[in-house]
Amino acid sequence: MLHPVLPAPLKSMPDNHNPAVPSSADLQREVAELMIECLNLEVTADQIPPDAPLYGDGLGLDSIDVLEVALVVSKRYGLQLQAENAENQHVFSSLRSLSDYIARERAT
Amino acid sequence: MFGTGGEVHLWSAAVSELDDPDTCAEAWAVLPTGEQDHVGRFQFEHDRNAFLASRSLRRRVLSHYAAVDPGQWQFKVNEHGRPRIAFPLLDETLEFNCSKSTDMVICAVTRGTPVGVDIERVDRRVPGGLAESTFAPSERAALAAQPQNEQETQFFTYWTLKESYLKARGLGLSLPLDSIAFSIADRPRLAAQMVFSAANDCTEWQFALLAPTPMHIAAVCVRRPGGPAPRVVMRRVLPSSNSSKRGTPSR
Repeated sequence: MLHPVLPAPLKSMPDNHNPAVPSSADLQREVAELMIECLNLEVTADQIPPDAPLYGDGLGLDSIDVLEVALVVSKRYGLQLQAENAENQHVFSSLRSLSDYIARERAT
Repeated sequence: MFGTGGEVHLWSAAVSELDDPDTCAEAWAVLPTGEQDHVGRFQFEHDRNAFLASRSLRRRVLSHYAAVDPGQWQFKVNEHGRPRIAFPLLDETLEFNCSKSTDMVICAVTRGTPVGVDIERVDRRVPGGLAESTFAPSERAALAAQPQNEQETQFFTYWTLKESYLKARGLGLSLPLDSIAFSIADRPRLAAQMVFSAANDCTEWQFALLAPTPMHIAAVCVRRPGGPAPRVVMRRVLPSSNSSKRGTPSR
């Protein structure tokens, strides 16, 4: 499976060594709805299992889809998802890990 | 012999061929249990079908080049997920690479050179801001100079070129997309050249662009230092048979 390369940072580089912040069910639902809207997915937020893969199998997103989600998430939450981040593969591995990443970055 | 002239065979199949129950059963039957399980892990039927079509195509295609039953091939992937033949290694020069769009799957085969291939539908929606945030400055300028109604097709032309290079090198999308840049000529034929690469390997890799249908764009990349663009021969796997027919060579 192709790895996503995320858009270049808008501001400073985030600290990659923060401990994980678990995301709430509300945030996971919000992120699921964001993905459904931007990718026109034919599911409801309840139908995206938090730990199912976003690409490779599961939701079946491809590299363009993942980049689009990265752009939308960056804009919505004011994050700096940067290119060449070794973490990207993990961040986009599931709805939960993406939501955890957002929760952690918002907390800093 | 195929491959000695640097030819690329590009095999294609329509995902809709699986609508025929016999074709679907045949595709399913060539997959080992692990790949059958993988099919079942997709949430949407259209993803299951495209994956099944792609995985059965690569097995049936490779069996055209070696006396191996389609179900017997074993593959290994590198750290970026690029598959190669692991067994049986009857011919270590045989290389392949596959790509799929929502409705079409393709498999490129070469001998003696790594190959990368990518296909997209040209009517796919281009995510807003994607070119601006990931393409090289020269590519963004070339896109902006296109008439509005051609910008989306041109976006996917650049996109498939970038993916074909990254897949030929086995890197996946682990390099920033703006670390390579292409120039595209429309006339006298659709042609592309890598004009910038952070790895400084522009002359090593050659590219071909083709439109398997009016709705698709595909890019093929091979390693051929200083050489000409690859000659691509389109081939079709016919449903419900192991035979093939020769298609129209690329432009």
